[in-house]
Amino acid sequence: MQQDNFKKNIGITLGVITILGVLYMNIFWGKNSFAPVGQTLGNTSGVNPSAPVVPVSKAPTPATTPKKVTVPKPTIYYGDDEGEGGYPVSQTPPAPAPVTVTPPPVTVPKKTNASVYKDGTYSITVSYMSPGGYDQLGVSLVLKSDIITDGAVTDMAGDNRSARYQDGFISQYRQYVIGQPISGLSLSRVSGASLTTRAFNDALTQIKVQAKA
Amino acid sequence: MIQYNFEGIGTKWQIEIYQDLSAEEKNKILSEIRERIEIFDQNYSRFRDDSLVMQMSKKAGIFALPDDARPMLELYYDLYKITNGFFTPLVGDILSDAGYDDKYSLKQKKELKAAPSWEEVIEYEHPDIKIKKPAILDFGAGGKGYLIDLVAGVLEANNISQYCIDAGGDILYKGATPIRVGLENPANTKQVIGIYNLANGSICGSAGHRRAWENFTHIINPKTCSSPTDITAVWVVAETAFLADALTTCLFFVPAKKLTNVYKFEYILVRKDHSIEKSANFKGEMFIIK
Repeated sequence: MQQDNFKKNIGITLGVITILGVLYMNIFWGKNSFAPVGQTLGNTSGVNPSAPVVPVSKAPTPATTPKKVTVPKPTIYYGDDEGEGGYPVSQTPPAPAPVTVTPPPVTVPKKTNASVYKDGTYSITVSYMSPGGYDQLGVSLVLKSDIITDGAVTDMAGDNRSARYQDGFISQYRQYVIGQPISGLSLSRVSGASLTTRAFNDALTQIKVQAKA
Repeated sequence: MIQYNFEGIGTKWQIEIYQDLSAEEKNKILSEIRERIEIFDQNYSRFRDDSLVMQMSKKAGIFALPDDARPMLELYYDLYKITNGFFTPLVGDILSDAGYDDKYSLKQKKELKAAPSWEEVIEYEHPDIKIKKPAILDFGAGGKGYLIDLVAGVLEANNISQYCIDAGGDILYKGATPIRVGLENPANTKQVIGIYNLANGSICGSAGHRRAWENFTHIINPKTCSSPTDITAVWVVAETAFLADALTTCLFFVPAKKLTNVYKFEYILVRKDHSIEKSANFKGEMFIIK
């Protein structure tokens, strides 16, 4: 009799611990796991009993959304060289006319005295429920003096549908390039659109003349 | 260091040889190179009436192709299949009708028709090629890279193992230390948007800004008959110039993942909004706006 009670007590204790553990995970760790995407569930408790319990990596504290990085629009200079240029740099080129390059306007974030975020790389695996099932997306950010200096998203989608959406999201994450003058970079060579010959350049000049007429 | 500068196949060549040669050797090698280029031009150029491809364009028939055609046709056919016809030699008529013809008229002459399928026109069993309907074959997409490799063959046959062949910005390099290659800004030819340190191998670039007229550049989509506007430049790094050159054209029209599990290469492409897309293994250093 005592043994049965004992087993019953252990069983109850383990059960309680498990439930508490699940609740703890859900409440403190599982916010990302259980937000159903565009779906309303039958129960309103906010916890989906059939979803797997997965701990989510802790976000950097404080857990606010990362600052949005403004990408400035670069100033574009169009070559006036009628299609020819880009001479191989190992030949001594004619000295190019000095080009005044106005640096593009850069948004300088206001700096506070103390750094709010600790410098470093932060990684998070975001888990979510999609109509295709449970899925994950990897995000990593590099913070330096409170500015996001680099970042990457990693496709971790298990389901094909999610993979397409993730690819779409990832492909939206872009880096933008800006030109630097060739002189001053000690280049051996330049690669780009194939250099043209005089014959072609003459033809280009002709059609431009005709277009103006 | 020996340096040759000359024009060939419509672009400027610069060849550097990193060893000493006697005046005799130097001249001998230069004339071998120029002859090799001339033979290639005679066979495959759309820009001369006496070429083999222009003869093949006049009426249906069976023609004998030279030996060097084989690797070229084979890669062209493979890429044709992989890209679903976006990479094709059957763009010659479209290019010519759009204005990029042997007279460089640069004026659209007539309504452009989508390229026919490979099977509709070509039946190829080396050395015989059966042209079933007259069509201008254009090998511009990969021909220059292929010729660069052939010229390298001439150097190697003369026991030269360290050299740089630069044909208008498509480069094949074999040397002791990597060279710094600037990636030209498609919006401004006096600038570069990045630097690639090239060790042994090839980097080829493709962009339309030097050969642009009306609404066209020399890069034309064979299905829509229009020039891509979203992508402004592409670079590919590969072991051979032929592969690098051909893949730059492919990447204007198909996503890289169609090619990355078939060929070994690195790539970067620039879009008109100045954003970039590159392979995970791309080793160049780009100038990124922060």
